[in-house]
Amino acid sequence: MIFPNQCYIELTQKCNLRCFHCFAQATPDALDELSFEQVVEIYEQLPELNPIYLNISGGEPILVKDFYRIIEYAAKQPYITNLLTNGTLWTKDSIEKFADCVPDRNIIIQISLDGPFEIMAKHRNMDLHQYKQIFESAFLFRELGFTVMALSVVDAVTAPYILDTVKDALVNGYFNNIKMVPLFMSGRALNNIDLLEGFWDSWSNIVKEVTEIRKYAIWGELSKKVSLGFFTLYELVAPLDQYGMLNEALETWGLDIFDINKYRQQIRRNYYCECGFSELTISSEMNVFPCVASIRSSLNCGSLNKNRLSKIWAESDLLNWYRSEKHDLQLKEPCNSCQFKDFCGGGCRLTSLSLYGNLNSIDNRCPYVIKYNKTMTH
Amino acid sequence: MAIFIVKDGNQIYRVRKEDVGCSVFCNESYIEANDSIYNMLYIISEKGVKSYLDEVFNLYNEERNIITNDLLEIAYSFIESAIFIEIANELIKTLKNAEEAGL
Repeated sequence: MIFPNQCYIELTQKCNLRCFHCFAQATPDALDELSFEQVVEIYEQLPELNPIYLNISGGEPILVKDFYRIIEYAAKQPYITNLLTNGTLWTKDSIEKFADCVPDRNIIIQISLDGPFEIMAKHRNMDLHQYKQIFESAFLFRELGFTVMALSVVDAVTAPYILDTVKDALVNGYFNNIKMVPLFMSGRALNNIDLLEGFWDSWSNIVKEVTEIRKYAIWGELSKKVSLGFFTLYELVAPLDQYGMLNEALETWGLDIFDINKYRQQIRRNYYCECGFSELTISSEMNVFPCVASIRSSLNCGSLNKNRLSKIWAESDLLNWYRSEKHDLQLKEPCNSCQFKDFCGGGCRLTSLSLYGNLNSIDNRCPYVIKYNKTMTH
Repeated sequence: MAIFIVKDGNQIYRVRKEDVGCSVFCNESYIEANDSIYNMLYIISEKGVKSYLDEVFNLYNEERNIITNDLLEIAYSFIESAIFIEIANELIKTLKNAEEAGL
């Protein structure tokens, strides 16, 4: 059996914010949340799948009634655990209480940070007090010995400001490191499709700049603390290609995009996509999804109220479809002629489903596909 | 459970049994290895390097030289890959000392 490397457990869909691009479509009105007993039930099934990384997410996890009990339990488990929080609801008391539950400081705190207050206010519907609280929380967590990282979502609006914000946050020591990820089109982002406008130019520029920061140590010691994440290979390769920097995929980012076997080992997965191979997500309704971005989409693989996690993982038709070696779309143009087709497998299926209603359509978000379509139109 | 933890200096590695061989995860690196390495790491995580070597040489005493060379090769490959550095150094030191002592 293939084992997933990471598992997301969404404690609740409830959140005090209402971010424009939230995968989970989290909202202050959401009611579902996992109880301590349900979380234990999930954890007791995990040894059948042996994940390494466990991500406790939301919504905003701290809003869950059994939050501290869950954290105390999670801290005793053998996984590398991340807590994904927006950082706005913590107080000195709640952080100290959290620290009491995690005496070994073995839960990594991940906080969202996309830019200055004006940008965060627009993108995440937060007020100035909440914005300041993000930094206050990060500072207190670090002071108590936790590793704190920030995750920044890059789109056309955040991109012009994000590097300055990231650098300031690192200079002031709020975070151990910061990862920037591209805007992904699922969940609430689909209601804000205008976020895609100008996205590629902005993201490509960020990829170029961050690559240069890392390569030339432009920020000195801080340069190593900023990194990029990507969902599909084209999000890294197309921008590098655009700037004639393809060799940096290996030299700066350690990904051999010309050797499929090395590449698969470097990205810690056996195939082009996390789905069915290296990731699974459990929603606060106890439903299983192939990846975190697909939560509450139609890609529901089964309910833990009806089946064991290992049975869903092994027998879900959808997950087994992801595992099938070749998908027909790789035979379609422009994927069929693309030098990266074996690395990327035709792009993200969730994007195709979300934007075009078809799991099997070409991923029209890919810059290579956009370019091909323009050429064909002309 | 098919995952165990190996502590090596400040590093913590998680070793997972796969259908064939094993995967080793830590913050800085990821490697895939065979079943022999999995068994070796499991015993080391439970009992330490010295006990592992005692066990191996009790089992394969007649092939001591071959086993020693294989283990040294593994230890050097760990160092080259920058993983299990302290375990690798302890393996090398113990095996070399045994060689010098004429064992």
